[in-house]
Amino acid sequence: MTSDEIIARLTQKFGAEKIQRVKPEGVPQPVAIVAADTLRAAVKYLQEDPELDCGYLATICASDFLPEEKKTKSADGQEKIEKIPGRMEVAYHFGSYAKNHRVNLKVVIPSRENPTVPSIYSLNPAADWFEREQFDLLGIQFDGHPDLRRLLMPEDWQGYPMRKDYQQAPEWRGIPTSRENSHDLFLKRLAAEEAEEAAEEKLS
Amino acid sequence: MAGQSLSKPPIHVDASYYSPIDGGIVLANVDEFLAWTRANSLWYMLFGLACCAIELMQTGGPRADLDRFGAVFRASPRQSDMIIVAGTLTYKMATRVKILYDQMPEPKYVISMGSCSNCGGLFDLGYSVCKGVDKIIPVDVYVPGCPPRPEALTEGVIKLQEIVKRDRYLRRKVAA
Repeated sequence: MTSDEIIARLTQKFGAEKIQRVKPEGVPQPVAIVAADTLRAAVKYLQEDPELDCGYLATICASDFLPEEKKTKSADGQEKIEKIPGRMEVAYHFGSYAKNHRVNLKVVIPSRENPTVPSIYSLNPAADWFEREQFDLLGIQFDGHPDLRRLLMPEDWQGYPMRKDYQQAPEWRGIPTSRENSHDLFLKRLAAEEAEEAAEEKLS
Repeated sequence: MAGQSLSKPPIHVDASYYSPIDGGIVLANVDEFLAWTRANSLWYMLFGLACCAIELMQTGGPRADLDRFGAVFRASPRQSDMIIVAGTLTYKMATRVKILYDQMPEPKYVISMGSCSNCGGLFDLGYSVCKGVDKIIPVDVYVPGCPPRPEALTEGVIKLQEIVKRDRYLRRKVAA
């Protein structure tokens, strides 16, 4: 089955308002945008239907979009400013070894404050560390995950480093998180040497 | 040959070959002697963190052969004289480096191997990488390179030997 056919079946089952097919330009595969409340049902259907049989969860990835303003010119030359609110997206890449097909699901979270998605850990245990990774780096809460801890960063780390507006704290447990630029250090040393030479000249 | 005894012939030694001091006495400064012995028996703790670890293995292997300098790897900090930090040091690992360094017996030395552990290197602007192992523990020798070749690390060990030979450990007022 092609991705299109799988998405068509999902749409048939759950309705067009819950699952939409999107195919951005230049992307080889279409994406099914799934409403957050249907995600678990859709994943269950994908995995348990004998014809779809998508038991292989390749990965879960997520992305962060800051709010932005888009300027568009209408036909009569008037400038329009379109405000696009910030959002987060979580993408699930499912596949089937037996049927040799794959499908991508995506959940769009409309807010960047406290983003929450239902966990699919109980349906597919492979989601365990994928969800923990997205929680660690982007701060996405997965509802129903039994052990949602940071995976890669230290447990007492502040903030979510993959967010677009992430600002790193100047130090962590007393360890500075930045180093002086070597060029600045060179200029500093040069200035010190010049001052020393000037002082010596004054003495002589 | 027939008829000749198979036992070894007696060794005839020219008395002028040996020093006039009888009994093989060596006169040396205790400090220097200790430093000399320690410099030629630098056991390093394995601490491969990234691709530098591959070069570290090469350095320990038969071609570069770090064993020539009495440097062999140990898997335990309690048996090590020095630690070669080889690779990218993340913040999560940084706390572990500190613990392991504290477990090593005095006197102890540190070689920082490669750009990453020297200053963060390629990951200078990364959020998860510590900008140099010298922010955690004192470093004696920095080996530049990404990763350094086995010859460079061998040079680093020789430089550390010079440091150890200069060190007067017994006269240290406070253990570093």
